[in-house]
Amino acid sequence: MKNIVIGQFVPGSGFFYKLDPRTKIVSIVFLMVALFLLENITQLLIAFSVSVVLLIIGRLSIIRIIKGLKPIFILLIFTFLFQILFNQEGTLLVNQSMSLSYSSIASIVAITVLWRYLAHFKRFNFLLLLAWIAGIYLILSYFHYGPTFAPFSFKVYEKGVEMSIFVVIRLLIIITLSTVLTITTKPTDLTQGLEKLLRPMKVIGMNSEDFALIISISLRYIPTILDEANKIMLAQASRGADFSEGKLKDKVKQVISLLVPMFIIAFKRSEDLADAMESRNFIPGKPRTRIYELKFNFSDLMTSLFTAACFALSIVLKVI
Amino acid sequence: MKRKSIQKMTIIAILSAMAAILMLIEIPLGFAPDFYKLDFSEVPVLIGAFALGPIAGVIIEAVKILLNFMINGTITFGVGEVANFLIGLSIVVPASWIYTRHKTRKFAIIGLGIGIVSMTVLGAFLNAFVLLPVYASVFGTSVDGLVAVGTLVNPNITNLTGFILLAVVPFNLVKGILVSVVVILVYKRVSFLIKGKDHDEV
Repeated sequence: MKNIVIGQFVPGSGFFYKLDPRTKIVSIVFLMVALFLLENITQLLIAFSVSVVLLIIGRLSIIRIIKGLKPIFILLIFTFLFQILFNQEGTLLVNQSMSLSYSSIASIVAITVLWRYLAHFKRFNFLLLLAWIAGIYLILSYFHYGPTFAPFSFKVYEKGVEMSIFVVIRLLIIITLSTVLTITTKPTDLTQGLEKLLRPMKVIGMNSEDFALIISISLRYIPTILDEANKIMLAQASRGADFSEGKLKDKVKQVISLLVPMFIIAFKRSEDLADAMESRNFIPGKPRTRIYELKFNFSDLMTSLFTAACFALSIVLKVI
Repeated sequence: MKRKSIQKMTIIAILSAMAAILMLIEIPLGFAPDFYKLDFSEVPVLIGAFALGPIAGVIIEAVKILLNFMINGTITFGVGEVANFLIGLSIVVPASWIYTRHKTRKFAIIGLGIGIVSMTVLGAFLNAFVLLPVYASVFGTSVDGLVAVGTLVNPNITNLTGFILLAVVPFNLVKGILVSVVVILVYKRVSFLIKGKDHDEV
C-alpha cells in the first residue's frame, strides 16, 4: 500500500510552472475536446509533434512524462492489440493461417512459464512481453508436429493498423496533458484554481470556498490515513488476521476489522481538527484571506490564445 | 452551532479522504470484464450520509471523485467521472434519506435495499447509453467491440442487452449488497462518536 503516490507534483521552474492554475485547468479541458474532434491520423500526428515541442519549450523532462505513463502501459498495449485483431476494414495486409496442435499447446505453456519465470528481471519487462507475443505468433503459425485442429486465420487489415496507431497516439496525448497539469501544479494551487472556477455554483447554493477547503483537508490527510491504515493492518496481522486470503465471508470480516478502527481514528482526528480551526476563529461560509493571490499575467494570456486557436482550428477541420 | 458546522466540515473532509483511498484498492470480480472492479469507497460515503444527512453524502461523493481525478487523471474528459458520481449518488441519497427519517436498523436495511435497486437500474441505463459508448469512442472501437470483451468472460453474452443483464446488473447488485453489509456491520460501532456530539450541542 505504501507505493500509492498522492499527487505527482515535482518542484521545478519553467513556463508551465508559472501559469495560473485556472488557465491550466480550462486550457486542458478545451485541448482534450479539441483532440477528440480530430479525425485523421495526419492531423493527430501534427498535434503530437506540437505537444512534444511544447514539452521542450516548457523544459519538462520527457523521461518523467514517460514514467507517468507506466500505469497505463498495459491499457495502451491492450488497446493496440484489440484494434489490430478486431478491426476488419480496408485492404488485407497480413493473412496468416494458424492452428492448434498438441506440440504448439505444449510449447505455448512452456514459453508462458519461461516468461513468468523471467519476469522478475524488471528491466526487460517490456521486451519480454514483446518476445512472448512474437513467440506465440510463431508457434501458432509454424510449430506443428502431429495432427492439427481448430484452424483459423490471423488477419491484419490496413484500417486496423491505422486505427490502432490513431487511438494509441490520442491516448498518449491525453495522458501527457493531464500529467503536465499534475506535475507542474501543487495540489493546493489546483484546489484554489478549482475554487475560483466553481464560484458561479453559488447560484445553486454551493459555497465554493468551503468546498475547496474540504478538498484541501482531504488531500492533506490522505497520506496520514494511509499510514494509519498500514499500522492497523500490521496490528491486526500480529493478532493473526490474514488480508490476502480467505473466502468472501472472511474477506468481509477482515475489511470490517480494518474499517472500524479507521473510522474511530478518523472521527477523533476530525474532532481535533475542528478544535484547532475553531480556536483560530474559523467561521464557515465567511470569506478568507490568502498570502498569495492568483494572478493572471502575460503568459496566461498567450496560453489562452493558443488554446482558443487550437480549439477553433479543430472545429474548422471537423466542419470541413 | 458554529462548532457543529466546523466539525461537520472536517468529518466530511476526512471521510472523503478515506473514500478516495478505498477507491484505489480495486478487486476484480470473475464474472464481469476486467474494467468493472469492486471497491469499498462507497462505505465512508454511506456512513457519512447516515450520520450527517444526504447532502453531506453528496459532498463526500463529489470530493471523492475529484480526489480520484487528481490522483489518477482522466481519459474520458470527465464523462466517466460524472457517471460514477451519479451511480454513487443513486445508492447514497435514497438510503440516507430514508434512514434520516426513521433511525432504526430496519429502516437502514430498507433504505439500503432501495438504494441497491436504484443503483442497479441507473447503473444499467448509464452503462448502456453513456459509459459504454464513451469508452468505445475513446478506444476507437464500437460498443460491439466492448461487448466482445464480455463474451470472452461469459460466452452467454452476445449483444448489448446481454452484456448489461449478465455483466453490469450482477456487478452492481454484488457491489451494492457487499457495501451495504459492511455499512450495516460497521455503522453502529462507530456512529456513537458523531451522534454523541449532536446531543451535547442541542
